[in-house]
Amino acid sequence: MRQHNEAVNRLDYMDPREPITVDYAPGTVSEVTLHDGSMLRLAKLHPEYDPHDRIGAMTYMQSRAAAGEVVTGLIYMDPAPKDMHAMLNTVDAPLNRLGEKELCPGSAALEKINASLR
Amino acid sequence: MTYIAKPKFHHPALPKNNLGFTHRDYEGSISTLCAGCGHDSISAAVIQACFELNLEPHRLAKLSGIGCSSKTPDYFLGQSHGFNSVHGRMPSVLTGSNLANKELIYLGVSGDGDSASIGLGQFVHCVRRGVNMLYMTENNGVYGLTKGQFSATADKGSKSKAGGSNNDSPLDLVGMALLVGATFVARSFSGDKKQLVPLIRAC
Repeated sequence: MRQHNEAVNRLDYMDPREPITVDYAPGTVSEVTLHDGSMLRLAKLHPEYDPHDRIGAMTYMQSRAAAGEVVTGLIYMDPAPKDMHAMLNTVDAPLNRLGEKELCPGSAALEKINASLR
Repeated sequence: MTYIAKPKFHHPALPKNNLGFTHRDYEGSISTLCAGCGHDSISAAVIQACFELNLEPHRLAKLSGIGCSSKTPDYFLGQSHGFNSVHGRMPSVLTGSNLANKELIYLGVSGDGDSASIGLGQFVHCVRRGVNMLYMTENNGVYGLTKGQFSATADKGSKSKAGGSNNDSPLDLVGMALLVGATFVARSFSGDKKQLVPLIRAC
């Protein structure tokens, strides 16, 4: 029996480490050494950065990435966002609060929908 | 261990928010992640943000996939709705939940393995559909649960714990989110609570 025993995994041990914390000002770059010895260059967005420009955000992100920096902060915010419910024009009430009548309006309503698609 | 709940008692003078909750009411089970891991720092930031926002725990739904990051919802918001879905499939499950009930506040927690590899298509389509949620990707460039393989976001030239070198180009989820129409895009470092908490609150 023992001659067929094969190690298919190995025990591993992770040394307890202290959490890594950083505190750096907007518009500056902070170099952070991670637990494995690798380094991150964090670049916090400047207070005057405009987060409403999508194309500008993409260009800026790529230029900083090429410089080896990881941009942090509010990168983009749509001033007039629309969500899935607005686009699909869904009902306001959760489905579990709708009655049978609302959930299944009957064959006349189905006929009307089908007719609108012809 | 995740099945061991944290003791409920706390200092009577612990600050309360407008709802009468302390930050302890937004905690979950005891974390089983490696001591010092950034995931626990992010969980702490989520707890603080929800406490400060005076959110009623029962109005929140937290959903995740598979991985170290996707384990973390067990460690915060223990009184909220939760669903741990299939690997990379959190966006679909969350989209369905959101369609059925838009009154809940949705928090999707994922990682670089869950969202940049097996769930990349899910990530992209969820973002482009404009699902109203906070999609939080806890990205460390490595598969921690399976002992340190490179993820799709690892920098080219990165060295693994076993000594291997990554030859593949990295995916940038933030850039991808911008490209496919995300309406709110932010990034922070797990250990920068001063920046991370306000960003979670803003979203």
